[in-house]
Formats: sequence, C-alpha cells, structure tokens
Amino acid sequence: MAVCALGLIASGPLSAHGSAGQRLRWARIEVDGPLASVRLDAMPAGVVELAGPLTEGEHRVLEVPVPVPSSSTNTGARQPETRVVGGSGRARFVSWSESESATTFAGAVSWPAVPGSSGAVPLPVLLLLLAAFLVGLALRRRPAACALLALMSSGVVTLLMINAEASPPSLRLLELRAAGGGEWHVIDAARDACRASLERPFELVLQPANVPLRVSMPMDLDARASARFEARGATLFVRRPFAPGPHALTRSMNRWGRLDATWVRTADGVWTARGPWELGRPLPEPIEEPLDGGLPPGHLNPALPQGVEILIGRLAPQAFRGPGNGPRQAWVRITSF
Amino acid sequence: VSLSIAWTASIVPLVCEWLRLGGLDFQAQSRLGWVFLPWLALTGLPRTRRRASPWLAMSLAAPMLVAAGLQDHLAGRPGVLHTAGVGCALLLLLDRAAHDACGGTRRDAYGLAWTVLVPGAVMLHVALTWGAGPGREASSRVVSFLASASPLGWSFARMGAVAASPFAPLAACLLLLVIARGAGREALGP
Repeated sequence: MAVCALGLIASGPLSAHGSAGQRLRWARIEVDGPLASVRLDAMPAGVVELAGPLTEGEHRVLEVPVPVPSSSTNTGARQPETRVVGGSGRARFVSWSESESATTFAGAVSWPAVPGSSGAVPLPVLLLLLAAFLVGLALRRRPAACALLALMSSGVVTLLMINAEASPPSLRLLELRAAGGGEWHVIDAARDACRASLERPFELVLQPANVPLRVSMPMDLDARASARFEARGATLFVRRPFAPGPHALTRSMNRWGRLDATWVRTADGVWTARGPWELGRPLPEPIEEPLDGGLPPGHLNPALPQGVEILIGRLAPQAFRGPGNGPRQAWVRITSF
Repeated sequence: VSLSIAWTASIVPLVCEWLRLGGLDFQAQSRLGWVFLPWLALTGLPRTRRRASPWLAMSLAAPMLVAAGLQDHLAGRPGVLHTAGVGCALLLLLDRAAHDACGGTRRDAYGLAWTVLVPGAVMLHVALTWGAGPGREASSRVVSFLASASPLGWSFARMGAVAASPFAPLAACLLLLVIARGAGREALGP
C-alpha cells in the first residue's frame, strides 16, 4: 500500500478563519485497481480527474484537492461522488483531511489583474477574418474557390485561437507586507488555467469566485507533483508563502536581482517612477519627467492599502523570480517599503 | 453590399472587445449569437440580381462564425453547438430562399413574406412591448409567437444564452423557401 500524503509543509501562516476565497479542500480517497482513471464529482463546485492507470491489486490512499464553493471551505462542502473509468476497480471517498483541510492565509490581498485577460479574439485572427472576407468577395463568382477559402481560413482561425489558448496570459507577483511581520507570498495569476505544485500550504482563489473548477492530476503523487487547475472564464490565483533567503530589497541595497522598472508610492499616495534598479545598488532617485506619468501598470495596483509606502518593480528575465518555474512576467510588490 | 454590411456589423463586437472600448461588456453574452444576428438579418434580403452561388453568405460568414464559436466554447459558455447548428441551418435556408426568389415576376410575394417573418414581427413585438411600458404586456400572443419564429428573435435570444426553440424559426425559413421556389418557378414559366 502506498500512502501519498502531500502535507509536506505543515507550518505556515495559516488561519482557521482566513479568507473565504479558497476553492480547495483536501480529501482522503482510497483507490483500488484495475482502473484507467478516477473522477470525483463535486459539482457545482467542480470535478477532479485522477489519471492512472492502476493495475490489478494496486492500492492507493491519496490526499487530493477537491473543489468546494468559495464560502464553504471549512464547513458545508459536499462530499464528492467517485466514479471509476476504464476498469473494474473501485474508488471511495474516505474523509476530509483533518490537517490543513482549509488552508487559507490571514489578511486580505489585492489580487493583481492579468493583462490581456479580456478573452477577446486575438489581433491576428481579426486580420485573417478581414483578409478572408476581402478575398472571398473577389472570388464570389467562383463558388468552389470561395468555399475552399472559407474552409481553409476557418481551419487557420481554429489553429490560431487554440494556439493562443494554449498559453493563456499569466504573471507572477512576489509580495512582501513588511508591516505584518515581513511575510513573503508568491502569487501566480493566470487566466482560465494554470499548473501548480501540490506542495502545501497553498491557496487557490478564483475571480469570479464560484466558476466551476476542474482539477487534473496523476495518481502517482510525489513531493514534486503538480496539478492542472482549469476554470474557464475566470482568473486563477495560487498563493503560497516562501522564504526569499538572502535575497532582499531595501532602499539602501538591492540584493534581489535587476529590476527593469521600479515605482514607489509615498504614504500620501504620490507615485514616482525610479527606472531600472541594478543589483547591489541603492534605490534610484525619481525620474524627472517619466513617459508614463510616473504611474506603475494599473493591473498591479488595484486597491492597495493607503497611508503606507509601496514599491512595485518588474523583474528582469535573469533576476531571481521566486520558487519553481513561474510565468514569464514577474513582479515584486512591497507594502510598507 | 448587404454581405459587406453584414460582415462589418458582425465583426463590430469582436473588434470592440479587442479594443476594450469602455462600457461595452460582451463577457456575459454569446459572441456567436452576436455574429449570427446581422447575417440572419441581411442574408435573406430580397435581391434584384442572382449571385453566382446560393451559399456565398455562408462561405463569407464561416471563418467569423468559427472564431466566435471558439471564443464561446473556450469561455465555457453553454449551448455553442446548438447555436452553431441551428444558426447555420437558418443562414443556409435564407440564402437559398433569397437566391431562388430572385428574378421571378412574383418575387414580391417573397419580399412581403420575408418582411413579415424576419424583421417585421420582431419590430412589431419590440414596439408594442416598449410602448406598453415596464411590467405591462401589450404584445398579442400572435405577435409574440411570430417574433419567436423570426430568425432574428432566435438569434437575439441566443445572444443572452436564453433557451429558444429552433423549430419555429426553422419552419419560418422553410416557408420562405417554399414561397421563393414558387416565385422562381413562376419566373421560369410553364
């Protein structure tokens, strides 16, 4: 029997009554082969798909994240229904996990918006539609050619849109609230879908909050196991604590890595652009006449706390970007800087 | 000209969404329903000259319908296949009907039927509903039924992902096709 419990980090800034946005609750599942996969139905909150296969006689006890409504992390979550796919094995819900069944972090967070997350048709597709229409009009006296053009352009539109969908917009935000004990959080935000490590503790929040969530993961779990989280039409935020180690950002010294652009907000709410901040250097002076008016990108500063100084910086590609393989865009945000 | 207008009107919501024009929120609405609306409004328009193909409108609309349908599907909106299937059938029927009615001496019959069944019933229903004011039902059952049988009424309902029976608009388009075939036969003579 293999017991794959993924409660690797039992400590952390957990709160029993933390934010109500957490959409996952850990459940203990017992699975016996032979089977190809197992589906846990927790609708309307979502589903979990556990990919096998398990052979005859194989047995697993798994702790898996199950979607729950955003307001019922601690209580009231419906027990998922298990269904075996492709085999005569069996799967059984045992119980909700007692440890960290409701991992939430204390304190509200200002979730960043993901740029380009409008779900609009990409520009290349719009241009292709225009071209296809103009060529189609020119070929209107040749029905066969016109139909062939329609088929070909429809195919290309499909490929372009699926390709755009395969790499949904995402960003990583490394956030420090210096006033609250100096805890660092890494927030990975993505539109529609993301892949995240199952190493606990972590919190998954959706906006809008109660979009159905699909979790896909393998049954062979180990310490580095990850799952794919999918919620069409929503932005997914995965928040977890991390220790930056020797990396630090203070006004007198940048021990983190190069920041391509930096902005600082004073306690009375005035933003100043500081430009690039090199490794090993103090915080640059404000730029006299910045092109962007001294304001950071709007998607990173929604509803930030007032009356404290804030730093926002865009990390250079080669700079330290936090744990794991994060999205291409990475930012640092420090409150009470 | 009508095809150009239909294409331009149908791409407007997609472009507005891409430009993120303030105040225009299409997130909750079916883009496929939006795209179908102008095509269904203008494809069956009575014509004075025959096109080379009775399926030209479908050929020109297809790439945009695919784009809008995929957007709906990827955004998790329900009923995409239903909207696509019924909408394409309506579009093909209307295009064929307008093609067949073209050039006949009694094409006026088709024009009258198209005016009543496609834009007329919907416009009358909307006018009576708006005229009655909020909370009052002034539109008669007959007008309401005719509006729901209009391809435009169906498309408008699908924009908001409202359940709308496809049978009445399909029957209306088939009726238009029958009338158009009669007009076309008249044109060919005995």
